[in-house]
Amino acid sequence: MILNASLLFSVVALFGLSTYVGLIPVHRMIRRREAQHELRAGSASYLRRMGGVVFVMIWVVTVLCLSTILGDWAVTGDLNAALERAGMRTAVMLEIAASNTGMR
Amino acid sequence: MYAEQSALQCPSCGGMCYFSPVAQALECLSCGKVYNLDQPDDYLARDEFAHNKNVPDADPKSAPPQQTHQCRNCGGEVVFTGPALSENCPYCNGPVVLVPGDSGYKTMALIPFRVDAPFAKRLAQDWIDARICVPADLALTVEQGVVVGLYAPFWTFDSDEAVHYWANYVTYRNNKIRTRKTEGALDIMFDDLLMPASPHVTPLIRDGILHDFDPADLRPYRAGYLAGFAAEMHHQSVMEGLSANETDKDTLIRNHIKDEVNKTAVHGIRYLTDTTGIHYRRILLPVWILHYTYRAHAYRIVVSGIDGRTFGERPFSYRKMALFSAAVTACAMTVGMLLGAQAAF
Repeated sequence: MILNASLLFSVVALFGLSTYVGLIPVHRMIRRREAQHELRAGSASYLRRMGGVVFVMIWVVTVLCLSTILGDWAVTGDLNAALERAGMRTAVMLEIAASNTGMR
Repeated sequence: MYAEQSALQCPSCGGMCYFSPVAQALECLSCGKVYNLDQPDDYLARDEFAHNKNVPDADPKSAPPQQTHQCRNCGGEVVFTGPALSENCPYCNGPVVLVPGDSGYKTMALIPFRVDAPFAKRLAQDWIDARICVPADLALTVEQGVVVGLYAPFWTFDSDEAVHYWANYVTYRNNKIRTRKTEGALDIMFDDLLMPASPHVTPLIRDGILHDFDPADLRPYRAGYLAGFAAEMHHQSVMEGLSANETDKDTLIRNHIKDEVNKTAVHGIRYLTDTTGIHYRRILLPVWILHYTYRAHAYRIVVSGIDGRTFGERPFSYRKMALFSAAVTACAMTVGMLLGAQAAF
C-alpha cells in the first residue's frame, strides 16, 4: 500500500463530494420510504413518489467506480496505470452492454 | 343562512350548538344538551348522479353564504358555521377577510368529524416523532401549532374506461436485451375515485390520509354537521372537476396498462380511452390541519377527521442527512477500493 498526499486528498475529496451530492438521493430515499409506508398503495401520489431509484443507483455506482481507481492507485502507486486500467474496465463493460442490447 | 344559524340554536336554552365529534351529535355550548342529527333517510346520501358529457351541467346552485371568508395569502374561500370562528385560513394559516358570498354548487353529502381536536393534535405530534432526519427542536415547534378543522370539498367519480394501448417492453434472452412492442385493449372500472375539488386540497392530502373511503359513512349535507368547523364549498362544475383531475387519472391508467402488459421495463406507453358511465358526488370530507412554522417556512400536517390517519410536510435536518450520506459513501468507497486493489494484480 502506497500512501501519498495526492492519494489522501483524492480520497477525502471524493468522500466530501459524494457526501454533499448524496444529500439529494438520501432526501429522495426518505421521502420514498415514507410514501411506501403512508400513502395509499396504488394511488397517484404513491406511484409518483416511487420513482427516482435510478438516481440513487447512479450515485452509488459512480462512487464505487471512482473508488476502484483510488484502490488501484493505492496499491500500485501509479495513477496513470490505474486510470488506464479503469478505462479498460469501462470499455469492456460498455462492450458487454452494447453486445447485450444488440447495438452491434 | 339565517335558517341554518337558527337550526344551530339550542331549543332548551337558546345557546349556540356545535357538532361534537365524540358524541357524534350537536352539543349546546351553554347547557351541554346533546341533539342527534341522524334521520331515517340518511342512506340517500350515498346516491350518485349520472353525468352526460354531451349535456350541459344542470346542477343546482347553492344560495350564496352571507359570510364567506377569503384568505389574503392563498385566496381560499371558506365558510364558518356556528360558534367557532377562526381568524386564520385553515389551508395556509393566513389572515382571512370577509367577502360577499359567491354561490357555488350544492354539496350532496359529507362524512362528519369523528376525531376531535386534542386527539388530532396528538396524532400530528406522534407523526412528527416517528420521522427520521428531522431537526431536534421540531417536536417543540409542532407542539405550539394550532389545529383547525375543515370540511374539504371532494368529488367521487365512477367511470368505465375502454382503453386501447400501445407500449414497449424489454426482454432478456440468450444474453441479448431486446425492446419489443405490444398493443392491446383493457377495460378499467373506477369506483368512488376520490378527487380533490379545490386547488387548495392537494392529491397528497387525499392519498396521505383518506385511504379507506366508505360511502356508507356519508350523511346528507346539514348545517348541524358543519357547526364549529370551517368548510370550503364546491365551485367546480363536473367538467371542470374531471379535467382538473385528468393528470391523476392518467397516472392510474398508465399503471393499469403496466400491470396488464406484465413485462420487464414497460415504457413508451400511449393510449386512447373511451370514458362512459360517469357518476359523481359532491362531498365534503373532514380534515384537521395543523400549521407550524419552522425557520420562517410554513408547513402543515393533515389528520383525517374520519379515522385519524396522518400525513404532512416536514423539514429535514441537513446534518443528519449528511451523516446518512457519509455512511453510504464510506461503504461504497470501501467496497470500491478493495475491488480496485484486487483488479491491480
